[in-house]
Parts: sequence; structure tokens; C-alpha cells
Amino acid sequence: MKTQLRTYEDSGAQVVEIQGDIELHCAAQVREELRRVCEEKGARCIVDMSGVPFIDSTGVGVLVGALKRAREQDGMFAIANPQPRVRRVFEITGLLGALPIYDTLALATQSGANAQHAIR
Amino acid sequence: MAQNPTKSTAKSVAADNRFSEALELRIPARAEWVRVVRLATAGVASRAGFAYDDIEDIKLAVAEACNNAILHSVGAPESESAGSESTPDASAAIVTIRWQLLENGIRISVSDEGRLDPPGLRRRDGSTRVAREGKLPTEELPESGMGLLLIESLMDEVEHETGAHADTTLHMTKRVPLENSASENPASQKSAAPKPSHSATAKPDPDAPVTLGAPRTSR
Repeated sequence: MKTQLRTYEDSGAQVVEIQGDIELHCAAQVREELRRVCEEKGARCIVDMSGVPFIDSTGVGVLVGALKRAREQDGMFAIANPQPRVRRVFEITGLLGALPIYDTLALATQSGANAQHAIR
Repeated sequence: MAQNPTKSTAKSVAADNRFSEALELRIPARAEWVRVVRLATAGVASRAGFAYDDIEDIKLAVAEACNNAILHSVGAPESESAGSESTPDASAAIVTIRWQLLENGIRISVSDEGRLDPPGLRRRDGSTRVAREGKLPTEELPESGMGLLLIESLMDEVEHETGAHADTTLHMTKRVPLENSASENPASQKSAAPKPSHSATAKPDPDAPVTLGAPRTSR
């Protein structure tokens, strides 16, 4: 059960689809991929989290890091469709309001296309 | 082996320990083993009578405690990518997880063999501030140091113990919510404490039935 990453383009955004847990063990792998995508100037990065049943605080930190990086590059970063358990972890860490979260991938993609400043 | 668990692990749960059973697991201090600990925790927590959401919470708390123990164990590679794809000889350190069934819950202890930065877990207040103030500028959002905050939010009691060799143990207790635990009467648990009954008034408990408190005789 290794965590799988797949990155593809959709409506001008880079969608990073994650299948599996985001935890300490695979944090570096996820961090590296998000860094690669978000480091491009003006990149629009969407993390599809519908296939992530578990996240720990290391994983939350990786997402926060990607958000910061995208902002530095005047890009956009969004999280699509987190499962309730994952949402709960965002909530407990106090980051639910700080992370740009959308209920569906389509909504995240639209937000990225229409309003780049939506994350602010 | 714990056929004869001692009563005196900690005063706060001493009353609960009398009939407890315990399991123990020792893992190499490497991140790839945390998943096994999570799975084992799910099994034990289920046996302790917790419902699904509580089991998930306990799994996360234990995973965070293991992460901390692994990242800060003496000999563990403490770098940006620590624990990611640890090399086989990265660390010979061991992390020990102990699950203790209580009459009304579970107590889990995660121990390492020694830390470079022992007591009190380095605590960064970033995420606590987010939680309190609602919002921080993006550039100030925390990327790490959220583990202990999570543990404290998810479990009912958290205690820290530092041993003679800078070895650290985190004890976490969670109670089965009363609505889950059938017709358990909190009064009977309290009166089971090895204390003279009149001392019950020393520790006021808003949930305690009035019969436990001081006599309600008006003068």
C-alpha cells in the first residue's frame, strides 16, 4: 500500500492526485512533487485528495508548504475533495480556514481558472 | 507479559488499572513502521469499546506520538526529509508502544530510548495561534510542530515522562464516552478509588452526582 502520486493537466491547472495516506513515511515524496509543481511561476496546483483516507501533521505541513510556495510564485494552490477524516485534521490543527479547500475537483479547477486571488 | 499489572503506573489512572490488560510492541525507530502501529491501535481500541470516530482519533494520536519519538530519537536522522525513505542502518533505536486496557478506556504509552532534545517536546505555537485567532498570514502558517497539539486535542489526558537517560515516554489516555459504555455509572467508578469517601469533595467534578458531594444540609 504505497502512496501513489499522479500529476496531470486539467483546464490549465496541474492536478496532483494522491492515492493513499499522507504521513511521515511518504511526506518527502509528496513534498517533492508539490514543490516541483508549485515552484513554477504562476503555477496553478490542485491536490486531489479524494483518495487520501489518512493524513498526519507531517502531511498537513507538506500541504501548507506547498501553499506558501505557490503564493511566493504568484501561483494558486487548492485542495479538492478531502475526506471527512482528513478535513477533521485540518480543523484540529486550526488550518481549515487557512487552506483553500473545495468540495470537488471541478470547483477547485474553476476557482483556479477564474479567480487566481481566491486563495488570499 | 502483564498478568500482574502493577497499580502504580500513574496516580491519575491508578483506580482504573486494577483489572487492566496490556500489550506491547517494539518497532525500529523508522517511519515505515508507524502504519503497523496504527493498525494495531485500531484493533486494541476496538476491543476497548470505542466507536469508529474515536478509534480513528486514537490512531492519529498514536501515529503522531510515534512520529515524534522517531524524529527525535537519538541516532535517528534529523533532517528535512527524516523518516522518508530511511536507509536500513539509519537508526538502531527502538520505539516501544504499550496499550493498556482500562475499565473505561485505553491508555497508550509511546517510549523512545533517548532524545537529543528531551523534556517537554519542543513546542511551536504556530498552529495553536491559528486555532485561537482564526487566521494567520499564509507566510506564517506552521509547517511542523503540530503533533503535540493534535495529540492533546484527540486524547483526554496526556502526560510526559522523562527518564534518567533522556528517554521520553508520552502517556495518552482516552475514555470511552459514557453513551457508548452501556449503563456505566460514574459514581461507582469514583467510589472505587482507594481513598476515604470524604475526600471526594476535594476534587469537585461538575458531572458528579450530587450524592458524591458534600451533604446538602442547610444550617
